[in-house]
Amino acid sequence: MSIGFWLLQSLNALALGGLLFLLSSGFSLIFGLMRVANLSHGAYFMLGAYVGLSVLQAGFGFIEAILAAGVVIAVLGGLIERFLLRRLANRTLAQVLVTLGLAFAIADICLMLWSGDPMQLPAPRWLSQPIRAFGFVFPGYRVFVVEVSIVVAILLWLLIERTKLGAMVRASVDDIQMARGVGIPAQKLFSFIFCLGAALAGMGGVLGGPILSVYPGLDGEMLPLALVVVILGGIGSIGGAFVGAYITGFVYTFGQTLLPAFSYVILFLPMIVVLAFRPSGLFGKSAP
Amino acid sequence: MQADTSPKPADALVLTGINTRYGESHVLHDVSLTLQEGRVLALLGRNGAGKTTTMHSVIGYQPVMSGSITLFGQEISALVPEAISDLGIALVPQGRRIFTSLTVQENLDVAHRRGSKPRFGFDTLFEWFPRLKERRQQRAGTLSGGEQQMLAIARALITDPKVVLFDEPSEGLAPQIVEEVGAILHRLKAGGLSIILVEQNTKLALSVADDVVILNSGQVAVTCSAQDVSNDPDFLVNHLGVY
Repeated sequence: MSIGFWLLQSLNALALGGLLFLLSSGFSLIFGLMRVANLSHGAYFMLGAYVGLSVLQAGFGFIEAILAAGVVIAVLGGLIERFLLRRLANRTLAQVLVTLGLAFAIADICLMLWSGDPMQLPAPRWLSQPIRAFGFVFPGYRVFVVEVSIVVAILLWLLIERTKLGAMVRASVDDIQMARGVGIPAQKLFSFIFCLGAALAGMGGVLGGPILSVYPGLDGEMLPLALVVVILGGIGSIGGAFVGAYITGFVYTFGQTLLPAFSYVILFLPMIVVLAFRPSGLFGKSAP
Repeated sequence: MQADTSPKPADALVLTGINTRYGESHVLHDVSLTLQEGRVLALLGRNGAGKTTTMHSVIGYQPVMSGSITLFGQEISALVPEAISDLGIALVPQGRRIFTSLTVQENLDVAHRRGSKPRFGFDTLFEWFPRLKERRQQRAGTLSGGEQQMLAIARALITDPKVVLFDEPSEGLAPQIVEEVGAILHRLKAGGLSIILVEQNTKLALSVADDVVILNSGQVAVTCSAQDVSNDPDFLVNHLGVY
């Protein structure tokens, strides 16, 4: 296998890692804040891709497709949070059942509206020019995905680590009851984070569309990857989601390429190793 | 009429017949007590008597099933903790519960209301707690136990409370830090704050308290003045089994 193969696969791994970061950063913050495991997060990713596809088919540009998917999924997430999850506060089993049920419902609606055929979102021409560097040719769109995910990661990191709003989020992840006791409006914060996380997942779906395509079952493939990322990186940590996403991107990409029969084993192995030595993840705090 | 010339201080916090559950068990039975403005009320009792549950009912962590809680006449028993905090009640909780992954400065910033000028503001607090000022950019989880207690107190004060609930502020601290906590309690009282103090260290509690309420099995056993307790050497033995 040539150096070109390794470089290309590494770029694929980075692109997948970037998509996983968009998917799992919100998932991680949502869980960290209110201990809500939002099992419909994978469905948000898939629905976002379909919404983006329709916007593209209607003749709009790629950026418009990403923004539209972000807005639609944020609104959907906001409604789900406001009218379903808020009534189920502190009821873990009920939350799991409702979010899983919603994932099935969203998947069925997608099947109804967009049929069962896999569809690839066309990458815009201005983004898919091959990039020549070091004597190799790289697919331009994947480089774009990597760039976008890193920019989003930096913005999200600045929001969480460098603003008062972010400090309130971190305080609530530390001890939500105490946070409310000093006047932090935890419920409003959670609504905001839920919408933000949903929007990121939806936009990730559009961004991933040209690489992964969109098809029934995409949601079910992405959700376990998000779980692996969050368990690896630690709950409620942006840095953890970032590192976890890229580790998972590399392990999954190379696992599938080199040992396709074992790709799931290889995926869950690092998670088991991390859990054995650091039960709260690489960047997680000790269990609450 | 100004408060300091008024013959009778206002009632800051009044609990009337509150009943509270903790999980399956009915912990508080018809607890009533009155904290007057500018005074310190020591809430004493054996372990499990319901002192922390009383505090948690006031701040909204453990909502009451029945009874009323008023802050300067306003009913607060149905409000959520963040609303109760906004109205002017702050908790210095047992075990300190500072936000360990935030810096010292961030612990205070998240509790400070935009635009508010607390009676005890950043300058005052950093003057009182110079160690916190030195460690402003340090993660709060790396502070010593005493420093964490000072941070928990500062965090409560920066919310600009009218009433502060102290739950075991001297617990697990070295003797000279306990003295420092006592000095702060005196300063806050002199500054006009109304305080409920839960404290195993009865000597510390009685040194600053005006009024005493003793809980026993979730009921008010005694309501009296701190003077009554100090005048009767057998009082604590009789009511708390403390020697």
